[in-house]
Amino acid sequence: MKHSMVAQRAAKMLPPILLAVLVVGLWQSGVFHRIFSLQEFTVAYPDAIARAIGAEAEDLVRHMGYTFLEAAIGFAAGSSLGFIAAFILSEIPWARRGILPVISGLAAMPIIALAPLMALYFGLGIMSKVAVIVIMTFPPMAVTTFKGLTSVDPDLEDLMVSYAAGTKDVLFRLRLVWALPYIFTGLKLNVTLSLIGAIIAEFFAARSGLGFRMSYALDTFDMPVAWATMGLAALLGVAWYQLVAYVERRSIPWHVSMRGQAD
Amino acid sequence: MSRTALTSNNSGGAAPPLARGGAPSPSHLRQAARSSGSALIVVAALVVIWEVVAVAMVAAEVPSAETKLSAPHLIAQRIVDEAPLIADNLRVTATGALIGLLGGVVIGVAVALVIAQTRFLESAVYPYIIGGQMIPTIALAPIILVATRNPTLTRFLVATSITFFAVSLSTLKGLKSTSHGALELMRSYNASRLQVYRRLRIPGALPFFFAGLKIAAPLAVVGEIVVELTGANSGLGYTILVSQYYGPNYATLFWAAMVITLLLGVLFYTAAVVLERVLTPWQPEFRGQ
Repeated sequence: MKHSMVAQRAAKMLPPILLAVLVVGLWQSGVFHRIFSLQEFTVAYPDAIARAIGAEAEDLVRHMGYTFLEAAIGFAAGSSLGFIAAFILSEIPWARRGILPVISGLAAMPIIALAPLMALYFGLGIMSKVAVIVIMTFPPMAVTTFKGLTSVDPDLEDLMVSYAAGTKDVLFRLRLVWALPYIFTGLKLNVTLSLIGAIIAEFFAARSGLGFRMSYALDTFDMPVAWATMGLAALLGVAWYQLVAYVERRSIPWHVSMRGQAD
Repeated sequence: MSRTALTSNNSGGAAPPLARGGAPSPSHLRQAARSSGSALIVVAALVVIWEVVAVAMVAAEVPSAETKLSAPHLIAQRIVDEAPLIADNLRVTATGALIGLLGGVVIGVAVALVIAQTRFLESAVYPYIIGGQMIPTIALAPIILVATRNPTLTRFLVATSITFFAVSLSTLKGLKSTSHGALELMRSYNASRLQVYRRLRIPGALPFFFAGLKIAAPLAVVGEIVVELTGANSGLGYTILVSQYYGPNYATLFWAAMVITLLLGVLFYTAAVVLERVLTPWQPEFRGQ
């Protein structure tokens, strides 16, 4: 059994790996450059990007760490605020009617447009980035969590009440547990949003971070480094997302979306 | 943006509330009307608070108070005064977002249709479509701008690429979620592959497609704004940037551009919602409304 599962997994990984090799190969050999008439000095070759990462590894990792710090603080604060807002709204029916649509509207807004304003308010420090991320990540979390807290199967609630479960039990053993898949949906959305917020906001006021380094590289036309910062941002995004997905698999192995994904 | 929300709603066990009550009654309509009424009251209250705080900041002589927070009535006045300028830039941003969105929709749907045909292609491409939602793709905007030196092309590439991921993922999920019973039925009637797609798979995929479109539409605006904030020389994002640096006289213009930008995102989202209602009125959510 175990053996065939490993083989199955390998077979599943093969096509995407082949595709990656093909794309990187065509890129490196200049086929894309010829087809789309790209210049080597604007769209760097993979080996040039790898060399740029190698040459400035220490510096780039420091910038990456700083971006992650900003993003993580904003992510935690924004998601917590969203959770609290959703919880309060789910408890107070008369408040949700007016406020929930406003939060949904906020979720559709390009909050990143506030980045220059936050730079004005908070200057070069970490707060100017964190503020943008908090405003970006608050609405999705509030919307998804609210959906989770208010979509509990009424039969289950009745069942618990019939067993004389108190409000507290219903909350902790049913409603919050039921809402977990929704909460993880919000968290996964916020991973990417936090990184976007951090990197773009660093263009306006920062002394370090991947966005800051990218902006500087673009000003000096150091394209391999600019592409390298993007590559590292992508890496950070995938790693962080996978971390959240891992915690999700561990927390809600019972959920339908997780079936067949156990590791 | 809630690409994964699709998973937990449609394939997940957590059935959304609509599964509960059956066809919504007229009371549903009344509820919606009441809800938007309350929302308007909340928005009005927020604007009043904003006005009071802005006036108080000027009174308290906070440095560059006007730039930090312009009063709503001054912003409204500025929007009226600068209507042609704002309209010009709004047109640039909205057109860019719309064209990019269309590009993302066409390519996203095409890719979903193509890779749904062969398992090998699907297994090769799918992980990257999933991966697209983990990567801050928008951060490519300034790089593409410098590389192409062509703002129009950059607008298109950025808005198309970020909307592509949302649309292709949701459409593919939709194409794959056709009920087995319905498929068997079509087969038993000897329906051709094309017929199965036309009559069953594509209509069945529409709700998923629209879920993706509702995510993609505001994202297209985000893409445009980022291109404009990081180097393009027109559009609302550009107006925000330059009016911030031009000093106190431009403070209300700075805020005017920002407010219009934020509302443009809501407009794009609302348009997607309306389009969904018009094109798929048969969805359980909309029935009886």
